[in-house]
Amino acid sequence: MAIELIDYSKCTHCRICVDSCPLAVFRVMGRRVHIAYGEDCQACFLCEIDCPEGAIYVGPERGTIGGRPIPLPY
Amino acid sequence: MARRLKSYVDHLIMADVLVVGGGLAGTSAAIKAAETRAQVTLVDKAVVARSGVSVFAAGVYSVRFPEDDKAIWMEEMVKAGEYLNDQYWVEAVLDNVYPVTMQIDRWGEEHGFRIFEKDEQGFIKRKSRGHIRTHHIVVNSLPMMNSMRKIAKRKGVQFVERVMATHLIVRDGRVIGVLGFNTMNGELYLFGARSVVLASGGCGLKSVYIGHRNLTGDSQAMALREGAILRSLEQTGSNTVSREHDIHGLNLFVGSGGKFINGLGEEFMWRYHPVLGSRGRQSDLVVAFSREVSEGRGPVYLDMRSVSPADRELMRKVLPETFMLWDKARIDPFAAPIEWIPAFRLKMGGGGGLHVNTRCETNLEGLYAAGDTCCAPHHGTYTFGGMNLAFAAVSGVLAGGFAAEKAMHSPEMDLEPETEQVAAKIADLFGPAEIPKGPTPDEVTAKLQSIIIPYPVTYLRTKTSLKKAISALSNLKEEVDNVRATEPHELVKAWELKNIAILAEGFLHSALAREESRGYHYREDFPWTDNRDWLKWIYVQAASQQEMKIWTKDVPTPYLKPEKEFDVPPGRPQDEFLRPGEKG
Repeated sequence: MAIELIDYSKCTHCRICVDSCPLAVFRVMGRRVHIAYGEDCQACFLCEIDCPEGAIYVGPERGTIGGRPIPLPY
Repeated sequence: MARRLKSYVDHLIMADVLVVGGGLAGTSAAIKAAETRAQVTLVDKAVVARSGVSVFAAGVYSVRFPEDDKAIWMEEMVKAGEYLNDQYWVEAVLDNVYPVTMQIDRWGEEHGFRIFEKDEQGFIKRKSRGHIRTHHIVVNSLPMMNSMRKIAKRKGVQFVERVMATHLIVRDGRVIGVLGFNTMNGELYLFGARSVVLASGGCGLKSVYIGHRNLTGDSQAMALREGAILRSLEQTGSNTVSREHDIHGLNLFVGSGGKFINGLGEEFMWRYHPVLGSRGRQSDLVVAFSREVSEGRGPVYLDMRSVSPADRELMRKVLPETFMLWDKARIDPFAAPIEWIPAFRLKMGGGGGLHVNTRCETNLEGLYAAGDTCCAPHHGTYTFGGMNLAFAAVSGVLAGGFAAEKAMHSPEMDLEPETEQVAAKIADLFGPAEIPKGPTPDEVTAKLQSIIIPYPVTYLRTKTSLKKAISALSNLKEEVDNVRATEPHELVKAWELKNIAILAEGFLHSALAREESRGYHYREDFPWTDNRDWLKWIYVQAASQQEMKIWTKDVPTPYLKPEKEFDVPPGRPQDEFLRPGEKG
């Protein structure tokens, strides 16, 4: 999986990551930001780059189509 | 229609100019329109400055400086674009790109953003990648888009974010509005506008490569359904990428000494492009990669062992996403060759899209297009890196200006919300939510990808492979039509699938029609460039729900004409060149 975790010991609930994500992977429930659609993450790292607290970790693996691997040309 | 409007339109928003899409083209259009005191609304499926591919533009932005000879740029672009360029558009880009870009630079400085790389004296640095006698500058894309967002806000542009536009409202052949929904809560948005600029980017088919998974041809598809004319869909865009990871930055990699080698260790690109070799255009690369692999000389690697320490540092700075990824995967890209593959995009950077004239007008009155939503008229097939951003900025400014002028001369706001047309489109928009038991968008998207992405359809095309794909796509149509959505996030994916599917259909029919090889379009059964019979653009229009109308038109060549009747296409080794009638 591309996006792996939000470290809630560092997260200040500023919601910058919510606005960073082109694919609307995050949702806010109460005060907390959740990874609601992690299977749609494209591993573009914008949320991790924008997070002022360093609270997000995105893994290097290629994203998927809702969990399905993307076909390659050969 | 018993239900009254208020029960289902949650937000009714009126604007002089409505811009769809908030990348470089969309923000440029919105800012330009707002400067004429038009009331401007910008709607984006994501959030402006973090939406589209502008934010992932990998450092390279091509600019003709005033001291550069325009004729040299024109010649290099038209030759690289294999004479399929709209030469009037090439000229428009070359004339406007410097002032437009310097304005972006000044705006950046006003807000403390360093957008373009400069030397100690403050002059913008110029470099060369797939360029022969032309140059690019080095752009930091994140600060550029942060700056564009701030400027648009300052000029009074109203942002409506996380709203996906799905339908155009048209009356008497004139576009008067747009319908869409909020991607998080499903609320319905109806926009009335005196003129509309579509600038929501290309269509990446959700395939590999960084940062384009939400670019699904939404504007092109919505316009196509209302009778807009698209062009050059057979010129699908492609990039290349690591087999394992979605990174970007190829222009800088090969511009700084990176080179491609095949399974035999040969620097094979010299056989396909004797001048540029590994710095060849993307269209040269992807067809050559496929050929090396299909003929048993794969896999292909990118070898960056000879890149200088200074260039390694520059790359780290300009490509933060790429190096963040490689660091995490514990890969040192300069230590050993990395396997490299073609990354197919149905339309991105290069490739087909909405047909526009040099005023950015489409064939529908009141409808304008800018950036990647257009048919890449400046590129022809594909010129060189950095021309996508140049076109996005220039066409954005032109579209914004002309759309504002149109709005100024349209005294009435014609949108009447309570019409049968609007009601029918609302029903269509929420259609997937009404389907109780259908396939999921992800399921069908994966099936569609497996039809299109294999190299006999994308890179080494034949009549047989294209016909097979057309038939497979037509069999998939019922699933596309019956795709279900249980909540707004899935409704986004349902519409993205529908949009990809209609563009894929246009692509396959255009590719079948073009019986020659040029640019990204390589035909194994017609392995030559035919300037005698195929110096033509291919147009697509939806004749009905079931049928695409395809026709061609001669490409005007006001400045430069091809010298040869038949020529070697990209991806064909020079020593294996064939003419019609010859057998390989």
